[in-house]
Amino acid sequence: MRTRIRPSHRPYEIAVLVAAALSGVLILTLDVRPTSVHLSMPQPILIAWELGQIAVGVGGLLGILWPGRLSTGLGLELASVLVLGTITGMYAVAVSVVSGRNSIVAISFMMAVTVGSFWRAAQIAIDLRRLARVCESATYEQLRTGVT
Amino acid sequence: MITAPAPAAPHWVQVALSVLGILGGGTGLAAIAAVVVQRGKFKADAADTLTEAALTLVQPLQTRITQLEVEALSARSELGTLREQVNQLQFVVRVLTRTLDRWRAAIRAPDATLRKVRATVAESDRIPEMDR
Repeated sequence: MRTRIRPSHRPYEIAVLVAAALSGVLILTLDVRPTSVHLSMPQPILIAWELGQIAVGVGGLLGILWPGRLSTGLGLELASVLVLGTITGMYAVAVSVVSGRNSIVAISFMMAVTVGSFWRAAQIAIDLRRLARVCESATYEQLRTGVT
Repeated sequence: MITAPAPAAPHWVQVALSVLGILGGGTGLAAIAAVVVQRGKFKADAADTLTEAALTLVQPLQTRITQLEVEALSARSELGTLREQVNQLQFVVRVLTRTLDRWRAAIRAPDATLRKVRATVAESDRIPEMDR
C-alpha cells in the first residue's frame, strides 16, 4: 500500500487564481468597478489592475500546469503570485481607505491572500535557487542514474 | 456604472497604490525575465528533476538495494547447492529402500536358508549404484 500525502497549499492557490481570472473577466465584460478601486486608483493603474487579474489567473494556472521544464512553470507561477499579491494588496488598501472599519472582514481575507501570495513567491524563489544549485552540481546523467 | 465623479479619495492613496502597483508589476516582470535569462541553469526536465532532498533520500535506498541484490544472489546459489544435496539424498534413500526390500524378501522367503540370504547380501554389496 502506498499513501501519498498531497501538498496542502495547492487548493487555495488554484482557487484564488481561478477567482482572479474570473473576476477580471467579469469586471471587464460587465464594465462594473468596485467603488473603492475606482476612487483610489488613477485610470491607467486601474486598467492595469483589471487586466492584471486576468493575466495573473491565466499565467498562474499556466505555470502550475506547465508541461515543459519545471523551472519555467515555477517562474510563471512566481511572477503570477507576485502580481497577485500586489493586486490583492492594492485592493485591500483601497477598500480600507474608502470603507474604513466597515470592511474588516473583506480586508482580512484580502490581506490573507496577499500574505499567502508573497509566502508562496518566497517558497518558489527558494526552490528555484535550490534547483539551480542542484543542476549546477549534478549533471543530468548523475541525476538520472541516481533514480534508476 | 459609476458615473459620479470621485468624492476624491485622498491623493496620497492614489500615489501609494500607483507605486505599489508599479512595484508589484515590475517585480513580476523581473521574475519572468530572470527565469528566462537563467534558463540555461536549469538543465533537467520536469520529469527527471530531483531536488537535493530527493537525492539524499535516494542514495541510501540505492545502497540498500545493492546489498539486498547481493544477498539475494548468495541465497539463490545456496538454494541451488541445497537442492542438489536433496536430490542426491533422495537417490540414496531410494536405493537403500530397494536393497532393504530385497533383503526382507530373501529372509521371508519360505525356503530361506542362511546361505541364500548371505548370497543376496553379498550380491547387493556389489550393486554399482551404491558407489556414490
